[in-house]
Amino acid sequence: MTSSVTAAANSFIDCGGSPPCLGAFTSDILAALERVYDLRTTYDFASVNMSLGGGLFGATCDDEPYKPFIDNLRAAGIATVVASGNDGATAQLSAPACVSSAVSVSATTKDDQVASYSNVAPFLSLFAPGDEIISSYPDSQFAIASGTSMAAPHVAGAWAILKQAAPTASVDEILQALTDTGVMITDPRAGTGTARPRIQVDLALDALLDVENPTPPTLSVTPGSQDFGSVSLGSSADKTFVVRNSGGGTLTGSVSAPAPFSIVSGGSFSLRRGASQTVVVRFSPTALGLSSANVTFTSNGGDASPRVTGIARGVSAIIPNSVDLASPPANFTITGEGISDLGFGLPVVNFMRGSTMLVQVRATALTGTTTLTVPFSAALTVGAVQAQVYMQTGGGSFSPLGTLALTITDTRPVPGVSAISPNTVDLASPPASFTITGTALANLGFGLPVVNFMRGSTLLAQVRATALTGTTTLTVPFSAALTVGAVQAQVYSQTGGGSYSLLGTLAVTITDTRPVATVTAISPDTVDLASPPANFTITGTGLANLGFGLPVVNFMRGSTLLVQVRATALTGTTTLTVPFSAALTVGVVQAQVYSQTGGGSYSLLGTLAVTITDTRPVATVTAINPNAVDLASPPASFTITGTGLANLGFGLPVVNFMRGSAMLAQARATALAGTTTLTVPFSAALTVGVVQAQVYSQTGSGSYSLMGALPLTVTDTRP
Amino acid sequence: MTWAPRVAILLVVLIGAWSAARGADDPVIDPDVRAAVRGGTVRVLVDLRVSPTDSSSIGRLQDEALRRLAGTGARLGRRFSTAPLLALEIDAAALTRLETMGDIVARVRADRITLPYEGGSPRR
Repeated sequence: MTSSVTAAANSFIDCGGSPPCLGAFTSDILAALERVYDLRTTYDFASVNMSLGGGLFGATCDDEPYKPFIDNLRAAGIATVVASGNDGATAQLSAPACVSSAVSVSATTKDDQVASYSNVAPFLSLFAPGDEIISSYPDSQFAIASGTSMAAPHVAGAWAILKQAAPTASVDEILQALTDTGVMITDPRAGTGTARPRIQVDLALDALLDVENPTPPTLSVTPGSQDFGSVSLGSSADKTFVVRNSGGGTLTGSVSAPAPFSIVSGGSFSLRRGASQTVVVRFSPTALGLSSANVTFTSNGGDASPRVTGIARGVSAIIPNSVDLASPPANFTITGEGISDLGFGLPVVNFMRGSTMLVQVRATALTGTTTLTVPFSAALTVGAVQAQVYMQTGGGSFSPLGTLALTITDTRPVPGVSAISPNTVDLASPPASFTITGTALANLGFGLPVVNFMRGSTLLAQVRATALTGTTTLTVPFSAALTVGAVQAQVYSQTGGGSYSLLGTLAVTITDTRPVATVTAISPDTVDLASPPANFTITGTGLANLGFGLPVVNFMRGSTLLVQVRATALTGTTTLTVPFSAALTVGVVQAQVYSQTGGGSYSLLGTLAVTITDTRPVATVTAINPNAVDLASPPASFTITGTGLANLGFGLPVVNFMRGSAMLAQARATALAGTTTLTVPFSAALTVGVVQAQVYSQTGSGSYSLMGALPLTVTDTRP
Repeated sequence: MTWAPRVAILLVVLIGAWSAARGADDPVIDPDVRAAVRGGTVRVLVDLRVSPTDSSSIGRLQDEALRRLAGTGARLGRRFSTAPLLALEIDAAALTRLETMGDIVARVRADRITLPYEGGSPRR
């Protein structure tokens, strides 16, 4: 390799700055240049790098003392590469960069812009990267630095590479190669618009080799042929060729291909020595079968005609292409070219009507690459159908093979209903079921037909048929929910999990000749609570248990329900037995008799009057013994006497021992002798003073009736 | 007449007289060299007049220049074999002598210190 050296001054001096800060007298720098010149026959110097200088010059500075030394080196084929300086000047260079025979270098950034600090002038030679450069540093270290000092060595080093490749090239020739092949960089600062090339070493090397060793361009195309494989009709596939200049100079030419092949990109080329370009060829088949052609490369370095082949895959026919649902085929047969299972299953057919997919069916067999077997689907309905055939190319990706037309017809009789029997029903003698006749009646796999019994828009009952005889006769159970009046029996065929198809509507008339149920009397109609009956007897006509229990009687006083009692027995259709209720209280009571007609529905049969009286003696209390108690010797109990005392079913009477409004104690009687004598336990809660003993009869679970209040004096003679 | 126009006229007359006295082959003395020797010695580069077609005369001319400077405070810094230059350290007397050597001396300029470029503190 040819050496590249940095100018080594014979004697640098301390410039007085912060270390490392060195300077050199101009005479010493000139001596260094002369030293390189003297050694030119000892070493194959390519270039001298000088990352130094000073001053600013708006034009070349050939009166500087450097000029003859740089001239001498240049004449010896050695380039003197000099940094342009870091003053940010836009039309001036420092010396010695300004010497016309020097190769002056300014710095660019990583993104190929002029570095802000670079001195640039129209007479600048080159740009090179100089920003954020990793370079060697004193003490065997590396550091990142920026400046034209970093740019110039790039050129000096590149010079060595180029000189090695072209040892006889002059400074002018190498500089020309770098200039011609560089990327033009425009300096946007100060609006000068100065544009100079940023070096591209590889391109300069190619250019230099062409100068050094001129050879004609030579066309090279790889590969020698391309097979596109199977491509669906209506789609396309791309393959690439690489065209290369394997000779010298510049290879220029063009590429063409006949239909159904075409050139997508790279149709023309201009390639330097060793350069290459990709040519993309597209196969867009328009007819099924094999296609082949030659791609033609024509150039100033020879011609080439690599072969291209491809098979257009697709489908051409579906058999049958007309289907009567009365006699559908088990399968369709689809024929075509280049059909295959790519590892993700056999092709899939989308049976479409416009944009609506009726059903998707996967082929079940493939014979060779031409014949598919696709099962018929019951989801196909009458009308035109487009069978879109796809080859599955991935887990969820498909490639179309084509679309085939298909017609679906149906000559089967249309299902319908024509009659319902009986069409008049008397609720007095309802039938067990209706018989509905029609045509093409069927269970479509979702159950037998369903009948909605409607009155206007109100659904009275929905009943599913329980039997189908042939395709003409349905058996539909009678429903007790049918009520008197005209009814529309809408007959539906269930066509899916939740879908139904109306087969027709039949009229039914519901009548009811049964006698009207009424109540006429209640016995007894007067009740003395002193001797209540066990039951009431209610008589009437047409009384019945309608399937929801025997009639119910609401015993009312005005709008207040005293008690509701259900009949416990029905004799024939005329006599109800209704238990007496202790909740009936003295006064007039209306017994409303209801027939239960549903789970929560009732029909009023009539209202009967009952009078409740009570001849039982009125309960009173007259005395309490003792009526004076000394707490020194209290009694075990009190004895209260009176009349009509009784346990009304909720416990013996209760005594509240009161002082004013304060209750001292409450005690329930523990014994009743006849109807006159109560035994009430003494309570230790009684305190000295006058006490009123209020005696209550308990008339209900939480209700009491005051029978009287008896005075009592409590004293205490205890010491 | 004020003093300012009188001084301007005097300067024009003096400059014109100096130009007329300077011959066509007189050496060019850089002003900073002339100023520097008044304070002592200064390092200079002396450009010698060499025919472009006679590079072999470089050494002979250098010898001649050094011979004529004998007796002054001139001291040889460096001779160059490929360019008609001498690097000297001179005093005022040597500069005066050089000014008389217009037949072989073309220019006297300061031998300056040149610094390497630094683009800021490197990051390591």
